[in-house]
Amino acid sequence: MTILQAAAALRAGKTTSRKLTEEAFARIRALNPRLNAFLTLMEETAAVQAARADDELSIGIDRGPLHGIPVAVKDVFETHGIRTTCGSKLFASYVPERDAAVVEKLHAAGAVLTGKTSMHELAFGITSNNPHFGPVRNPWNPEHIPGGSSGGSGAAVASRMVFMAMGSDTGGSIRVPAAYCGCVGLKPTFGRVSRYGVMPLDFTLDHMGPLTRSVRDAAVVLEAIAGPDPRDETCAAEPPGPCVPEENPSLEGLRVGWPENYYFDRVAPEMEQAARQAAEACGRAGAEIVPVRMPDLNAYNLVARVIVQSEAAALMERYLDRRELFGADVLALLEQGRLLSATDYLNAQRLRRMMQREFHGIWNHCDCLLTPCTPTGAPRLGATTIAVGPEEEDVRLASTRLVRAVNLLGLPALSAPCGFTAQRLPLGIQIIGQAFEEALVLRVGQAIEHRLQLKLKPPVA
Amino acid sequence: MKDWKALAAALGATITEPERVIPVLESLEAGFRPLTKNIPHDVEPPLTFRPFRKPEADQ
Repeated sequence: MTILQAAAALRAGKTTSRKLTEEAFARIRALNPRLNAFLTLMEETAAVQAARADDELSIGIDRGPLHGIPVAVKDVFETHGIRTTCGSKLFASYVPERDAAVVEKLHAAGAVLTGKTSMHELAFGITSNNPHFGPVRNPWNPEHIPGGSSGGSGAAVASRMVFMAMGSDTGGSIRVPAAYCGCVGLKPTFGRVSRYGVMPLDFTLDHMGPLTRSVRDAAVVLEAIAGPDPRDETCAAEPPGPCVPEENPSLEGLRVGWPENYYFDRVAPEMEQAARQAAEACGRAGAEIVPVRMPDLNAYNLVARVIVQSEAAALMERYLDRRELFGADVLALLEQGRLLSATDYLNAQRLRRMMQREFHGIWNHCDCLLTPCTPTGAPRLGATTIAVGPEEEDVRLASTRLVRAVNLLGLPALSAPCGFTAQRLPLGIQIIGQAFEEALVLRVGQAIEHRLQLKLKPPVA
Repeated sequence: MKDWKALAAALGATITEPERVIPVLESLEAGFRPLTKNIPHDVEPPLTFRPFRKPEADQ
């Protein structure tokens, strides 16, 4: 069941928010010992919110499609009176006195907050193999990672614990777990969703967005959480327009860009085949598939890494004398960042400006881009390298090299399921659009989802 | 090639696992440094500072 289906059932009197919430907690209790998708449960407050949602609907107060729907947020979003760890020992007992803007908006939309999802330590990694709170596991095969850093959100949504879980994305941390777990992940345009009250990893690269079971659900959530917020000065002034696509949208008149280089240079053959199926689905929906020459995205990734590591090190430097409180992989990244110079950081930001202008030229040739989200399906838990064709690559670099540049550019991108590996692990297609064109990205994603009709129920669900 | 250990020492920092930290920095340096050679002088970083305006009531 999706959010929109549950919303219809609620209004038809076929279910209640209390029942949906009780079912969510029953699933969480059954599955969380195997998946570790949740760090903190909020059962008591969720029961109160569900009862209120039912009461309001019964007297005609309707807050929209999220009203009465059980959801979760990554443990990077501050929640008033509820601990917010950021997956770190440093913040293991941090209890905020405010809600993040996104949490406020979810409450205003009537959603029922079930808890906080597990994540990679400090959102600074791709495996969600957390040394302090334990590894998160993939519901398609618990011996594999769910991706990260929003791994708990991906596992919770894919295993049907909740209808939606919020994630954050600094270098692929929404889209990669969505791809590895077989759900939908939307990274909106930088400035579309307020970052207020989100524990930061990077000032200029962090994006907030939902992981959901369907493309239309992602659109529903975006409409609820987007919009101006004076507490985050990077937040866009204009509110978003409606962006929920039709069930079977036409792509007539749309030019979908198919990269001639970079994106398919080093991907598993099954990933390329699945991406081609997604492109064919777009073609059947009326889109024109146009070949597009990409700039040197290896350089974009290098620049993004200099910025990520510099900003993260600046944020965390005050804690770096307490090494025992960090996992080895995160400590190494922070120590690297501390050794980059201010000159390097500023030149990386200047290069970012040049790359932004260069990449913008692509939109003369197409309206959006279709690319693989990751080179392969989910790597095994504990692996440091993964085979991509004949080559072995570092898991972190391989998992992020097709998604990281989009953070540098601040563009909206959607990850949607497009097929499976031979081992029955999900694969994701990435749809990249122009700034603030989420509606178009979601329309293309919905056209693919509607035509592929993939069966996405994992074994652990 | 930079002497990363000396650089860390000069900053009053230490490198916990040099074998994990230094190779990554060296590959980053090798890829990133050439990119910085061709930045036109008029390209500014996309970091904006906005001074607070005087509150309307005080004007």
